[in-house]
Amino acid sequence: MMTGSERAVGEYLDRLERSLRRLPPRQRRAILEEVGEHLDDALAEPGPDPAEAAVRTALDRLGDPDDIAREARARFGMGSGVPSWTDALAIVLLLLGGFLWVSGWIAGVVLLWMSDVWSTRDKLVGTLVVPGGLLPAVWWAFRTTSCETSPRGEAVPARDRSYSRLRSGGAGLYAGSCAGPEAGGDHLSGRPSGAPGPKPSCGLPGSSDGPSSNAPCLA
Amino acid sequence: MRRGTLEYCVLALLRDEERYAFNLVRGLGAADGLVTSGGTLYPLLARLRKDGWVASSWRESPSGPPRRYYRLTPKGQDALDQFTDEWRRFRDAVDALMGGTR
Repeated sequence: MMTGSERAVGEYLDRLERSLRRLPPRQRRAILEEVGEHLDDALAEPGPDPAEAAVRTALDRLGDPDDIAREARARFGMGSGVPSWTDALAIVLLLLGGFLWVSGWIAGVVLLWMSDVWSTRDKLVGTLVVPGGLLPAVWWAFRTTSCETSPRGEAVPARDRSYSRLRSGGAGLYAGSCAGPEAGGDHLSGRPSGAPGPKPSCGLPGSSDGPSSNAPCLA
Repeated sequence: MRRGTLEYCVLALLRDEERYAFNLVRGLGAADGLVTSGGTLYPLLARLRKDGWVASSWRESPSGPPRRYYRLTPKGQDALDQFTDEWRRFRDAVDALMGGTR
């Protein structure tokens, strides 16, 4: 049976682990272990306080997990983790850059990898998932009779043809694009706290299950 | 400035004896204004260990459970000596200026 004190310590360590998630795993583990040992030490000290008050004092002295994470990022040269306007632009270009010829998307990928807001894993997802995620948008614009099964294979020729379509049906295209890249774009924009940038809000069933998601056949 | 100085304060605490982390946190906490919260010391210790300035090992402690003790490495000792020289020059220069404007 877990006491209130154990729960408080557990919650604190969980919060710390979440705050440290962008750190290399080895450093994250080291810090978590030692903070855990610190708490064991602090609570083993004889004191007049009842256990829960002692736990609260120990946790207060350790400080906010976010402060520890900020210190860790500074110590390991990982930047502030505060998103800048180029990070917002990276998201916009990744989502919509494919329609500004492919160069817009390439610029988005460059900005994405230059950023220090996202982890390597996030960047891989942003690079690999987002262009595949654009496929539903293209499909939406054309409403062709065939339902495409390869997220990468037919994307480029379909996108080429989409420029003429873009002029006539831009609104529909945008609606599709904001549903399509949900898997990649939402993953990125949800990561930094308070990240600026578009949040895809309209949902298309089946569009958010990762790199292998195919264009759903709604016709 | 505090961030840049703190790591050397940790090295200085380890100059004469091995200490475990909780003891280090208390040692630094006793120095007024050096550490805002104890937890921020752990990322620093992880960094110092990664750079090879300190090493740690598990040992029995005189009281309580086995603990991870930190000690200064030769590389850390060099860094500390160098900082100590620089710090004295810096402190004297600042003191001279501050004293002069009063």
